[in-house]
Amino acid sequence: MTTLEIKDVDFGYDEGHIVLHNINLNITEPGLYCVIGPNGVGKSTLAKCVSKIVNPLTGEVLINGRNIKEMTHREVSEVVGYVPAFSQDVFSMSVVDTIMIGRHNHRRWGSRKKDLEMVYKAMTIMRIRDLGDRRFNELSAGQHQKVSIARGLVQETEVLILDEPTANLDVKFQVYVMELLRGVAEKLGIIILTICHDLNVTAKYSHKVIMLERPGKIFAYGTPEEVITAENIEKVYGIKCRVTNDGEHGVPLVILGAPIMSDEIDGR
Amino acid sequence: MPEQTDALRGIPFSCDKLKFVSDIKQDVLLSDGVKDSVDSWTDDISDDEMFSDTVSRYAKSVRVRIAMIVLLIVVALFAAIYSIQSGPLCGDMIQTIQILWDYMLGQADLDDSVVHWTLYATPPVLGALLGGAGLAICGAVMQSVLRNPMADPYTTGISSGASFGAALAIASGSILVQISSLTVLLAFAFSMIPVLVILLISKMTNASPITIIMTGIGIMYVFNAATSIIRLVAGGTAMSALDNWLMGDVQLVQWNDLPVMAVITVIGVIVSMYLASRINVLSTGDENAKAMGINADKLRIICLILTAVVSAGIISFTGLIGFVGLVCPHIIRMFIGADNRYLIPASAAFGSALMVVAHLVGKMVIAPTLVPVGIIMACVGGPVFIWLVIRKNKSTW
Repeated sequence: MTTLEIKDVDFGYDEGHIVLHNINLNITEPGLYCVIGPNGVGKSTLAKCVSKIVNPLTGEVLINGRNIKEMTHREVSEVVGYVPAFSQDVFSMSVVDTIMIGRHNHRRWGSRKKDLEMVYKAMTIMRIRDLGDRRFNELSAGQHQKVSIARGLVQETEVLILDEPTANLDVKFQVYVMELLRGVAEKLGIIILTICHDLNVTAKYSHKVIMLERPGKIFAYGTPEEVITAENIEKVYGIKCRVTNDGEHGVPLVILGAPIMSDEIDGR
Repeated sequence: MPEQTDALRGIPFSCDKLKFVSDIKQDVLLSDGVKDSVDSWTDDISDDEMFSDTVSRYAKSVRVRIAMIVLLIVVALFAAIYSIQSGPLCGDMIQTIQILWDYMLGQADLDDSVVHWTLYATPPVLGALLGGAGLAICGAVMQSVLRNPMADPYTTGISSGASFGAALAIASGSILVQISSLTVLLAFAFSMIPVLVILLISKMTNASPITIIMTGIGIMYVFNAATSIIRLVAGGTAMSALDNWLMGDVQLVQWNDLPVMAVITVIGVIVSMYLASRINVLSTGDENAKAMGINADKLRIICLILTAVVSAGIISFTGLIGFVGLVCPHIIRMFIGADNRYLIPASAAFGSALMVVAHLVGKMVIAPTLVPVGIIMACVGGPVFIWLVIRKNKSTW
């Protein structure tokens, strides 16, 4: 079974400006893990530490017991997939070729039928099969997002990290993608770590929630009903709210109230 | 508000519904549509008709791209042979091929006047063939790894470094012939300076593509100014020799230069095609590339050194030739897309064809005066390029 352990991780982009403080997290079961927290709290940075895009200043990230610091980028990429928040593609390829890039570790110079099969399946799941021949740059932001998620899925890794996968999606696809990620995690038994801003979607679909607070610390880690509470939300985000249950499945439902403007919570 | 919250906290949540289940059918939170989607991930689809259709369409798109590369190579070679035989006192195309073949085997009759004139007309054409290919792959690779449509040997300062080196050699007065080993040597040596500066700066800061282009442009201005100073100081003969070099023309290429140019270009094409798949990943962004197992900074530096050696190697012999490196990859992208596995060989073939044709036109347009290829390409290519950009811009960048 795949495990992901983060031990005493500190990270900063510049000296004197520490983004993550003493992060400890031990994930031993597959499932959908959502990272929530206010803007600039280090959610994306945490995701980048786990996929070896940046290296922590101190502490270590262990995947299946192996320290990723001692693994090459290639070795890490074989176990950890990463879907960035926005795409940087300057020159556009067709959607099929764009998703095919996710198969980089599985193929050599040419693309084999197996690669195309995974791409086709990912396009089917993301409901973008009719976009296959279109150029990537012709698509909308939401369609870009779907292509990026498809590119993450075809990597077939044991750990998949998504930075705000639902950011540009319409309401239906926000729910669909989160359901899908939960379903994929359960079906394939993999760890999916995703950054999300919608507390209700997080509450409903994640197996566990990681809540970060300023300045880059883990405030709470546990099941949605343990973490998504009115006190926690008020303390971490600085917004009043009511948390009830959704009446159908018994999962937490957040009804937001008035924001509390505070230098301590928001910064200045 | 707080009282309400406290009151609501009393409602029990049914935690068991949120638990991990390995059989997704039992997960009450998932809708049926999603369960079907997830199940389809592990289905065998090899018999699926729509999938077979996708496979055949994909295979067709690959065939079209390969066919286009082959076509461009044929056009380039045909144009090269035609260009050689169009020279004064040369034979027809078949005869030209025969003469070149014999010459390669060392069996050519050098006393024959047709053979003599054919071999005389050949080096510039082969220079155009090799130079076009080399400069075009440099542009393609640089644009992809720096993720910038403006990247080429000019904007990275390599060309300016080379011109300064050449200016220094020509103005030093020891050599008054147009092309000489010292010019080539200094042009090459100085073109490596921008690369070293870029490497140094990217080591100090993070090797972000924008930093690299900015540094390159800064270096370009410095070297251009230094070259202008040399022009001011240098006397008449040296100045005109320098102007000749700066204008850039394959007419400067001699038989002796061709082996070096050939080796550099062939290595450039092979290595960049070998790296093409990785360059594709890098062109989607550094973070994405690192997450896909590519050491982004290292690959970009390797690619920069490769393109610097290739472009400097070519420019040193031909003088400054712009346009090919910047524009060929863009035109090819419009037709076959940005996948570097096809873009690189297609750009190479197209660059060759373009440069050979430009050289041919340059020989004919106001004969007997030879118009340098750079001028022809810019005059004709510039407007054509703008027209293409206006027509097809949205989908390419």
